[in-house]
Amino acid sequence: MESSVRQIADVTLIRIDGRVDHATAKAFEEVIKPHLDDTGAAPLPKILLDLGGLSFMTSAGLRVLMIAAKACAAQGRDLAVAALQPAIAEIFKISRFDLVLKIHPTVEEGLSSLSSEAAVLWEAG
Amino acid sequence: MRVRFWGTRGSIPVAASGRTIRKKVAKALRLAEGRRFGTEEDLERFIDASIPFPVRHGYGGDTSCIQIEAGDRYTLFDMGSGLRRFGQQVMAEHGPDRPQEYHFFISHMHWDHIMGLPFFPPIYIPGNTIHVYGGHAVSMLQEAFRRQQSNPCFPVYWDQLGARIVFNQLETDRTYEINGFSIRLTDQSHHGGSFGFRFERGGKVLVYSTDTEHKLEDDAQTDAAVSFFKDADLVIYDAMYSLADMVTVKEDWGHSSNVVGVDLCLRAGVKHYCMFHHEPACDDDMILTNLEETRRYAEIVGEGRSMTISTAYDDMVIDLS
Ligand SMILES: [Zn+2]
Ligand SMILES: [Zn+2]
Repeated sequence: MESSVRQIADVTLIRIDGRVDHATAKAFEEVIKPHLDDTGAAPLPKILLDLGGLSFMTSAGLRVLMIAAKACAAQGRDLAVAALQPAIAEIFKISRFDLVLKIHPTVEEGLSSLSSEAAVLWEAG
Repeated sequence: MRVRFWGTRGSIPVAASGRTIRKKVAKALRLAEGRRFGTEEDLERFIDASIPFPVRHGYGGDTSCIQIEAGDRYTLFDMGSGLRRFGQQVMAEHGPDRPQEYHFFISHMHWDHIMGLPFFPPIYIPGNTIHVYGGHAVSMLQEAFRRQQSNPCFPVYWDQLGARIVFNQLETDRTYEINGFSIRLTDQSHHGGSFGFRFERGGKVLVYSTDTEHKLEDDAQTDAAVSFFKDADLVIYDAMYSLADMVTVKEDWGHSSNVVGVDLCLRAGVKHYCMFHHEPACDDDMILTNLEETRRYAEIVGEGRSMTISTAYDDMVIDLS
Protein backbone atom coordinates (compact mmCIF):
# COMPACT_ATOMS: atom_id res chain seq x y z
CA MET A 1 0.00 0.00 0.00
CA GLU A 2 1.14 3.52 -0.79
CA SER A 3 -0.41 6.82 0.02
CA SER A 4 -0.14 10.54 -0.58
CA VAL A 5 -1.84 13.45 1.12
CA ARG A 6 -2.77 16.85 -0.32
CA GLN A 7 -4.61 19.75 1.17
CA ILE A 8 -7.02 21.46 -1.17
CA ALA A 9 -8.80 24.43 0.39
CA ASP A 10 -10.68 22.94 3.36
CA VAL A 11 -10.35 19.32 2.19
CA THR A 12 -7.67 16.79 3.03
CA LEU A 13 -7.37 14.57 -0.03
CA ILE A 14 -5.81 11.20 0.78
CA ARG A 15 -4.89 8.95 -2.11
CA ILE A 16 -4.45 5.25 -1.44
CA ASP A 17 -2.75 2.93 -3.92
CA GLY A 18 -2.26 -0.82 -3.84
CA ARG A 19 -3.66 -3.34 -1.38
CA VAL A 20 -5.29 -2.98 2.01
CA ASP A 21 -5.69 -6.33 3.72
CA HIS A 22 -4.91 -7.76 7.17
CA ALA A 23 -1.19 -7.21 6.53
CA THR A 24 -1.47 -3.54 5.52
CA ALA A 25 -4.59 -2.38 7.41
CA LYS A 26 -2.44 -1.02 10.26
CA ALA A 27 -0.38 1.07 7.82
CA PHE A 28 -3.62 2.32 6.25
CA GLU A 29 -4.87 3.28 9.70
CA GLU A 30 -1.62 5.16 10.40
CA VAL A 31 -2.09 7.19 7.20
CA ILE A 32 -5.59 8.30 8.16
CA LYS A 33 -5.17 8.66 11.92
CA PRO A 34 -3.35 12.04 12.03
CA HIS A 35 -6.23 13.60 10.10
CA LEU A 36 -8.75 12.37 12.66
CA ASP A 37 -6.93 13.81 15.64
CA ASP A 38 -8.59 17.05 16.73
CA THR A 39 -6.79 17.41 20.05
CA GLY A 40 -4.00 19.68 18.73
CA ALA A 41 -4.21 22.13 15.81
CA ALA A 42 -7.64 21.74 14.23
CA PRO A 43 -7.53 19.43 11.17
CA LEU A 44 -9.18 20.49 7.94
CA PRO A 45 -12.92 20.04 8.25
CA LYS A 46 -13.31 17.55 5.37
CA ILE A 47 -11.64 14.34 4.21
CA LEU A 48 -11.88 12.79 0.78
CA LEU A 49 -10.27 9.41 0.17
CA ASP A 50 -9.24 8.91 -3.43
CA LEU A 51 -9.35 5.13 -3.82
CA GLY A 52 -8.70 5.15 -7.57
CA GLY A 53 -5.43 3.27 -7.10
CA LEU A 54 -6.81 0.80 -4.54
CA SER A 55 -6.79 -2.61 -6.15
CA PHE A 56 -7.61 -4.86 -3.20
CA MET A 57 -9.42 -4.48 0.12
CA THR A 58 -10.72 -6.90 2.74
CA SER A 59 -12.82 -6.45 5.87
CA ALA A 60 -9.71 -5.32 7.76
CA GLY A 61 -9.47 -2.24 5.52
CA LEU A 62 -13.20 -1.58 5.61
CA ARG A 63 -13.03 -1.52 9.37
CA VAL A 64 -10.43 1.27 9.25
CA LEU A 65 -12.70 3.28 6.94
CA MET A 66 -15.53 2.86 9.41
CA ILE A 67 -13.38 4.06 12.31
CA ALA A 68 -12.52 7.14 10.26
CA ALA A 69 -16.14 7.76 9.30
CA LYS A 70 -17.29 7.44 12.90
CA ALA A 71 -14.56 9.77 14.19
CA CYS A 72 -15.46 12.39 11.58
CA ALA A 73 -19.16 12.12 12.34
CA ALA A 74 -18.47 12.57 16.06
CA GLN A 75 -16.46 15.72 15.28
CA GLY A 76 -19.11 17.05 12.91
CA ARG A 77 -16.75 16.67 9.95
CA ASP A 78 -17.40 15.18 6.51
CA LEU A 79 -15.71 12.10 5.10
CA ALA A 80 -16.30 10.63 1.68
CA VAL A 81 -14.61 8.19 -0.68
CA ALA A 82 -14.19 8.49 -4.43
CA ALA A 83 -13.16 6.67 -7.59
CA LEU A 84 -13.67 3.05 -6.55
CA GLN A 85 -12.47 0.41 -8.99
CA PRO A 86 -15.30 -1.98 -9.99
CA ALA A 87 -14.20 -4.85 -7.70
CA ILE A 88 -13.83 -2.48 -4.75
CA ALA A 89 -17.27 -1.01 -5.48
CA GLU A 90 -18.65 -4.55 -5.37
CA ILE A 91 -17.01 -5.17 -2.01
CA PHE A 92 -18.57 -1.96 -0.66
CA LYS A 93 -21.96 -3.14 -1.85
CA ILE A 94 -21.61 -6.68 -0.46
CA SER A 95 -20.50 -5.39 2.93
CA ARG A 96 -23.28 -2.72 2.80
CA PHE A 97 -20.67 0.01 3.18
CA ASP A 98 -22.38 1.71 0.25
CA LEU A 99 -25.22 2.43 2.67
CA VAL A 100 -23.09 4.00 5.40
CA LEU A 101 -20.36 5.89 3.49
CA LYS A 102 -20.65 8.67 0.96
CA ILE A 103 -19.25 7.36 -2.32
CA HIS A 104 -18.52 9.52 -5.37
CA PRO A 105 -17.71 8.22 -8.85
CA THR A 106 -14.73 10.56 -9.29
CA VAL A 107 -12.44 12.70 -7.15
CA GLU A 108 -13.78 15.76 -8.93
CA GLU A 109 -17.35 14.95 -8.01
CA GLY A 110 -16.30 14.13 -4.45
CA LEU A 111 -14.57 17.49 -4.09
CA SER A 112 -17.43 19.47 -5.56
CA SER A 113 -19.91 17.86 -3.22
CA LEU A 114 -17.67 18.56 -0.21
CA SER A 115 -16.40 22.05 -1.03
CA SER A 116 -16.92 24.38 -3.96
CA GLU A 117 -13.65 26.15 -3.15
CA ALA A 118 -11.70 22.86 -3.34
CA ALA A 119 -13.46 21.94 -6.58
CA VAL A 120 -12.41 25.23 -8.16
CA LEU A 121 -8.79 24.75 -7.10
CA TRP A 122 -8.84 21.15 -8.39
CA GLU A 123 -10.25 22.32 -11.71
CA ALA A 124 -7.51 24.89 -11.99
CA GLY A 125 -4.98 22.06 -11.52
CA MET B 1 -18.11 -37.75 10.00
CA ARG B 2 -21.50 -36.40 8.98
CA VAL B 3 -22.87 -33.05 10.16
CA ARG B 4 -26.65 -32.67 10.40
CA PHE B 5 -28.20 -29.26 11.05
CA TRP B 6 -31.37 -29.37 13.18
CA GLY B 7 -31.50 -25.61 13.74
CA THR B 8 -29.65 -22.79 12.02
CA ARG B 9 -31.46 -19.54 12.88
CA GLY B 10 -30.02 -16.92 15.24
CA SER B 11 -31.56 -15.45 18.37
CA ILE B 12 -35.18 -16.62 18.12
CA PRO B 13 -37.07 -19.28 16.18
CA VAL B 14 -39.00 -18.00 13.19
CA ALA B 15 -41.85 -19.55 11.22
CA ALA B 16 -42.93 -18.71 7.69
CA SER B 17 -45.97 -16.45 7.81
CA GLY B 18 -49.12 -17.08 5.78
CA ARG B 19 -48.12 -14.26 3.48
CA THR B 20 -44.70 -15.79 2.89
CA ILE B 21 -46.20 -19.19 2.08
CA ARG B 22 -48.70 -17.60 -0.28
CA LYS B 23 -45.88 -15.85 -2.14
CA LYS B 24 -44.02 -19.15 -2.48
CA VAL B 25 -47.12 -20.95 -3.79
CA ALA B 26 -47.70 -18.17 -6.30
CA LYS B 27 -44.11 -18.34 -7.52
CA ALA B 28 -44.23 -22.13 -7.87
CA LEU B 29 -47.52 -22.04 -9.78
CA ARG B 30 -46.16 -19.43 -12.12
CA LEU B 31 -43.05 -21.54 -12.76
CA ALA B 32 -45.21 -24.61 -13.47
CA GLU B 33 -46.90 -22.73 -16.32
CA GLY B 34 -49.98 -24.95 -16.27
CA ARG B 35 -47.93 -28.13 -16.60
CA ARG B 36 -49.61 -31.49 -15.76
CA PHE B 37 -47.72 -34.16 -13.86
CA GLY B 38 -48.38 -37.81 -14.68
CA THR B 39 -46.75 -39.31 -11.61
CA GLU B 40 -45.54 -38.20 -8.18
CA GLU B 41 -41.98 -38.77 -9.45
CA ASP B 42 -42.55 -36.36 -12.34
CA LEU B 43 -43.78 -33.77 -9.88
CA GLU B 44 -40.84 -34.30 -7.52
CA ARG B 45 -38.40 -34.05 -10.40
CA PHE B 46 -39.96 -30.80 -11.55
CA ILE B 47 -39.78 -29.35 -8.03
CA ASP B 48 -36.09 -30.20 -7.72
CA ALA B 49 -35.12 -29.06 -11.20
CA SER B 50 -37.26 -25.97 -11.70
CA ILE B 51 -38.30 -24.46 -8.38
CA PRO B 52 -35.54 -22.40 -6.69
CA PHE B 53 -34.37 -23.49 -3.23
CA PRO B 54 -35.90 -20.53 -1.31
CA VAL B 55 -39.31 -21.43 -2.79
CA ARG B 56 -39.24 -25.23 -2.62
CA HIS B 57 -37.49 -25.57 0.73
CA GLY B 58 -36.20 -22.43 2.47
CA TYR B 59 -33.65 -22.18 5.26
CA GLY B 60 -35.87 -22.98 8.22
CA GLY B 61 -36.44 -21.25 11.51
CA ASP B 62 -35.20 -23.44 14.35
CA THR B 63 -32.36 -22.11 16.49
CA SER B 64 -28.87 -23.59 16.87
CA CYS B 65 -28.65 -27.35 17.13
CA ILE B 66 -26.21 -29.48 15.15
CA GLN B 67 -25.60 -33.22 15.31
CA ILE B 68 -22.26 -34.82 14.45
CA GLU B 69 -22.82 -38.34 13.31
CA ALA B 70 -19.78 -40.47 14.05
CA GLY B 71 -19.25 -43.17 16.61
CA ASP B 72 -21.99 -44.91 18.54
CA ARG B 73 -23.12 -42.20 20.94
CA TYR B 74 -24.99 -39.03 20.08
CA THR B 75 -22.88 -35.88 19.80
CA LEU B 76 -24.43 -32.44 19.34
CA PHE B 77 -23.61 -28.74 19.42
CA ASP B 78 -26.11 -26.59 21.35
CA MET B 79 -29.69 -27.19 22.38
CA GLY B 80 -31.65 -24.58 20.42
CA SER B 81 -35.22 -25.18 19.28
CA GLY B 82 -33.93 -27.57 16.60
CA LEU B 83 -33.33 -30.07 19.40
CA ARG B 84 -37.09 -30.71 19.55
CA ARG B 85 -37.05 -32.30 16.09
CA PHE B 86 -33.91 -34.29 16.87
CA GLY B 87 -35.73 -35.57 19.98
CA GLN B 88 -38.69 -36.68 17.88
CA GLN B 89 -36.36 -38.61 15.65
CA VAL B 90 -34.54 -40.45 18.43
CA MET B 91 -37.82 -41.28 20.14
CA ALA B 92 -39.15 -42.74 16.90
CA GLU B 93 -35.95 -44.72 16.50
CA HIS B 94 -35.43 -46.06 20.03
CA GLY B 95 -38.75 -45.60 21.83
CA PRO B 96 -38.74 -44.90 25.56
CA ASP B 97 -37.32 -48.24 26.66
CA ARG B 98 -33.80 -48.31 25.26
CA PRO B 99 -31.52 -45.97 27.22
CA GLN B 100 -29.16 -43.78 25.24
CA GLU B 101 -26.19 -41.57 25.93
CA TYR B 102 -26.07 -38.02 24.59
CA HIS B 103 -23.10 -35.64 24.53
CA PHE B 104 -23.93 -31.94 24.15
CA PHE B 105 -21.31 -29.24 23.60
CA ILE B 106 -22.75 -25.88 24.58
CA SER B 107 -21.34 -22.67 23.08
CA HIS B 108 -23.05 -20.58 25.79
CA MET B 109 -26.33 -20.40 27.65
CA HIS B 110 -28.18 -17.71 25.75
CA TRP B 111 -31.80 -18.62 25.33
CA ASP B 112 -31.62 -19.54 21.66
CA HIS B 113 -28.92 -22.14 22.46
CA ILE B 114 -30.70 -23.94 25.32
CA MET B 115 -34.43 -23.47 24.69
CA GLY B 116 -34.85 -26.87 23.02
CA LEU B 117 -33.99 -28.93 26.10
CA PRO B 118 -37.43 -28.84 27.82
CA PHE B 119 -38.87 -30.20 24.55
CA PHE B 120 -36.34 -33.03 24.26
CA PRO B 121 -38.21 -36.13 25.47
CA PRO B 122 -35.11 -38.16 26.50
CA ILE B 123 -34.54 -35.86 29.51
CA TYR B 124 -37.77 -37.15 31.06
CA ILE B 125 -36.87 -40.81 30.70
CA PRO B 126 -34.95 -42.60 33.46
CA GLY B 127 -31.98 -44.55 32.16
CA ASN B 128 -30.83 -41.92 29.66
CA THR B 129 -27.58 -40.10 30.33
CA ILE B 130 -26.98 -36.59 29.10
CA HIS B 131 -23.47 -35.16 29.27
CA VAL B 132 -23.30 -31.39 28.96
CA TYR B 133 -19.90 -29.86 28.16
CA GLY B 134 -19.07 -26.19 27.99
CA GLY B 135 -16.40 -23.63 28.67
CA HIS B 136 -18.46 -21.95 31.40
CA ALA B 137 -18.29 -22.99 35.03
CA VAL B 138 -20.47 -25.98 35.91
CA SER B 139 -22.43 -23.83 38.37
CA MET B 140 -23.28 -21.34 35.60
CA LEU B 141 -24.27 -24.07 33.17
CA GLN B 142 -26.48 -25.72 35.77
CA GLU B 143 -28.04 -22.46 36.83
CA ALA B 144 -29.10 -21.59 33.28
CA PHE B 145 -30.86 -24.93 32.77
CA ARG B 146 -32.38 -24.93 36.23
CA ARG B 147 -33.82 -21.44 35.74
CA GLN B 148 -35.23 -22.37 32.36
CA GLN B 149 -37.17 -25.20 33.98
CA SER B 150 -38.52 -23.48 37.06
CA ASN B 151 -41.50 -21.39 38.05
CA PRO B 152 -42.85 -19.32 36.29
CA CYS B 153 -41.03 -20.17 33.04
CA PHE B 154 -41.91 -23.83 32.58
CA PRO B 155 -44.28 -26.28 34.26
CA VAL B 156 -41.90 -29.24 34.55
CA TYR B 157 -39.09 -28.41 36.96
CA TRP B 158 -35.45 -29.34 36.64
CA ASP B 159 -35.58 -31.66 39.66
CA GLN B 160 -38.36 -33.67 38.08
CA LEU B 161 -36.28 -34.83 35.10
CA GLY B 162 -35.77 -38.57 34.78
CA ALA B 163 -32.47 -38.71 32.92
CA ARG B 164 -29.07 -38.48 34.55
CA ILE B 165 -27.55 -35.14 33.55
CA VAL B 166 -23.83 -34.62 34.00
CA PHE B 167 -22.20 -31.20 33.59
CA ASN B 168 -18.53 -30.80 32.68
CA GLN B 169 -16.44 -27.67 32.32
CA LEU B 170 -13.78 -27.84 29.60
CA GLU B 171 -10.68 -25.65 29.58
CA THR B 172 -9.36 -23.74 26.59
CA ASP B 173 -5.72 -24.80 26.82
CA ARG B 174 -6.30 -28.54 26.74
CA THR B 175 -7.20 -31.23 24.23
CA TYR B 176 -9.93 -33.65 25.27
CA GLU B 177 -10.73 -37.09 23.92
CA ILE B 178 -14.48 -37.54 24.10
CA ASN B 179 -16.63 -39.94 22.12
CA GLY B 180 -13.82 -40.65 19.67
CA PHE B 181 -13.24 -36.95 18.93
CA SER B 182 -10.17 -34.97 19.74
CA ILE B 183 -11.64 -31.70 21.05
CA ARG B 184 -10.34 -28.21 21.73
CA LEU B 185 -12.23 -25.05 22.58
CA THR B 186 -11.57 -21.35 22.36
CA ASP B 187 -13.19 -18.41 24.05
CA GLN B 188 -14.99 -15.89 21.91
CA SER B 189 -16.14 -12.33 22.23
CA HIS B 190 -19.84 -12.38 23.16
CA HIS B 191 -21.98 -11.12 26.05
CA GLY B 192 -21.39 -13.46 28.97
CA GLY B 193 -18.72 -15.29 26.97
CA SER B 194 -19.11 -18.03 24.39
CA PHE B 195 -16.91 -20.88 23.21
CA GLY B 196 -16.00 -22.28 19.82
CA PHE B 197 -15.18 -25.96 19.35
CA ARG B 198 -12.69 -27.75 17.13
CA PHE B 199 -13.41 -31.45 16.63
CA GLU B 200 -10.98 -33.83 14.92
CA ARG B 201 -11.59 -37.44 14.02
CA GLY B 202 -10.18 -39.74 11.35
CA GLY B 203 -8.12 -36.94 9.83
CA LYS B 204 -11.16 -34.64 9.42
CA VAL B 205 -11.54 -31.31 11.21
CA LEU B 206 -14.80 -29.56 12.07
CA VAL B 207 -15.03 -26.13 13.74
CA TYR B 208 -18.21 -24.74 15.31
CA SER B 209 -17.85 -21.04 16.02
CA THR B 210 -21.08 -19.17 16.61
CA ASP B 211 -22.11 -16.18 18.68
CA THR B 212 -18.75 -14.54 18.28
CA GLU B 213 -18.03 -10.92 17.43
CA HIS B 214 -14.79 -10.80 15.57
CA LYS B 215 -13.84 -7.14 15.62
CA LEU B 216 -10.59 -7.24 13.63
CA GLU B 217 -9.21 -4.73 16.12
CA ASP B 218 -6.70 -6.92 17.73
CA ASP B 219 -4.17 -8.86 15.64
CA ALA B 220 -3.62 -11.38 18.42
CA GLN B 221 -7.35 -12.19 18.47
CA THR B 222 -7.43 -12.54 14.68
CA ASP B 223 -4.33 -14.74 14.64
CA ALA B 224 -5.84 -16.92 17.37
CA ALA B 225 -9.04 -17.38 15.33
CA VAL B 226 -7.04 -18.20 12.20
CA SER B 227 -4.99 -20.79 14.04
CA PHE B 228 -8.12 -22.30 15.63
CA PHE B 229 -9.67 -22.65 12.15
CA LYS B 230 -6.39 -23.80 10.56
CA ASP B 231 -6.88 -26.25 7.66
CA ALA B 232 -10.36 -27.24 8.84
CA ASP B 233 -12.51 -29.25 6.48
CA LEU B 234 -15.59 -27.37 7.66
CA VAL B 235 -16.05 -24.17 9.67
CA ILE B 236 -19.58 -23.32 10.82
CA TYR B 237 -19.43 -19.61 11.56
CA ASP B 238 -21.64 -16.82 12.89
CA ALA B 239 -22.43 -14.81 9.75
CA MET B 240 -25.45 -13.04 11.18
CA TYR B 241 -24.83 -9.48 10.03
CA SER B 242 -23.47 -7.51 7.12
CA LEU B 243 -20.08 -5.97 7.91
CA ALA B 244 -21.57 -2.45 7.91
CA ASP B 245 -24.21 -3.46 10.49
CA MET B 246 -21.64 -5.28 12.57
CA VAL B 247 -19.39 -2.23 12.89
CA THR B 248 -22.13 0.41 13.24
CA VAL B 249 -25.63 -0.06 14.67
CA LYS B 250 -25.00 -3.63 15.82
CA GLU B 251 -21.53 -3.09 17.23
CA ASP B 252 -21.12 -5.01 20.51
CA TRP B 253 -24.22 -7.10 19.84
CA GLY B 254 -21.95 -10.13 19.85
CA HIS B 255 -22.10 -11.37 16.27
CA SER B 256 -19.88 -11.47 13.25
CA SER B 257 -20.42 -10.97 9.53
CA ASN B 258 -20.39 -13.04 6.36
CA VAL B 259 -17.29 -11.30 4.96
CA VAL B 260 -15.25 -11.55 8.16
CA GLY B 261 -15.93 -15.29 7.98
CA VAL B 262 -14.52 -15.37 4.44
CA ASP B 263 -11.37 -13.47 5.44
CA LEU B 264 -10.67 -15.67 8.47
CA CYS B 265 -11.39 -18.93 6.62
CA LEU B 266 -9.29 -17.97 3.58
CA ARG B 267 -6.35 -17.11 5.80
CA ALA B 268 -6.76 -20.38 7.68
CA GLY B 269 -6.90 -22.49 4.51
CA VAL B 270 -10.39 -23.78 5.37
CA LYS B 271 -11.97 -26.05 2.75
CA HIS B 272 -15.64 -25.33 3.45
CA TYR B 273 -17.09 -22.26 5.16
CA CYS B 274 -20.70 -22.62 6.24
CA MET B 275 -22.63 -19.49 7.19
CA PHE B 276 -24.75 -19.96 10.31
CA HIS B 277 -26.98 -18.21 12.92
CA HIS B 278 -29.13 -16.42 10.37
CA GLU B 279 -30.66 -13.08 11.25
CA PRO B 280 -34.36 -13.69 12.11
CA ALA B 281 -35.38 -10.68 9.97
CA CYS B 282 -33.95 -12.31 6.82
CA ASP B 283 -36.39 -14.14 4.59
CA ASP B 284 -35.35 -17.04 2.38
CA ASP B 285 -34.60 -14.84 -0.62
CA MET B 286 -32.37 -12.59 1.48
CA ILE B 287 -30.42 -15.56 2.85
CA LEU B 288 -29.81 -16.83 -0.68
CA THR B 289 -28.72 -13.36 -1.82
CA ASN B 290 -26.33 -13.22 1.14
CA LEU B 291 -24.86 -16.55 0.10
CA GLU B 292 -24.36 -15.42 -3.49
CA GLU B 293 -22.77 -12.15 -2.38
CA THR B 294 -20.51 -13.93 0.08
CA ARG B 295 -19.32 -16.26 -2.67
CA ARG B 296 -18.65 -13.27 -4.90
CA TYR B 297 -16.69 -11.55 -2.11
CA ALA B 298 -14.59 -14.71 -1.68
CA GLU B 299 -13.98 -14.82 -5.41
CA ILE B 300 -12.69 -11.25 -5.37
CA VAL B 301 -10.51 -11.47 -2.27
CA GLY B 302 -9.56 -15.14 -2.74
CA GLU B 303 -7.45 -14.35 -5.81
CA GLY B 304 -7.65 -17.86 -7.19
CA ARG B 305 -7.82 -19.75 -3.90
CA SER B 306 -10.87 -21.96 -3.86
CA MET B 307 -13.13 -22.52 -0.88
CA THR B 308 -16.61 -24.03 -0.76
CA ILE B 309 -19.13 -21.64 0.77
CA SER B 310 -22.58 -22.70 1.87
CA THR B 311 -25.28 -21.28 4.09
CA ALA B 312 -26.81 -23.62 6.63
CA TYR B 313 -30.46 -24.64 6.52
CA ASP B 314 -32.52 -26.80 8.83
CA ASP B 315 -32.02 -30.48 7.85
CA MET B 316 -28.91 -29.77 5.79
CA VAL B 317 -26.36 -32.59 5.86
CA ILE B 318 -22.64 -32.19 5.15
CA ASP B 319 -20.46 -35.26 4.79
CA LEU B 320 -16.82 -34.93 5.75
CA SER B 321 -15.18 -37.98 4.25
ZN1 LIG C 1 -27.31 -17.19 19.41
ZN1 LIG D 1 -25.59 -15.53 22.17
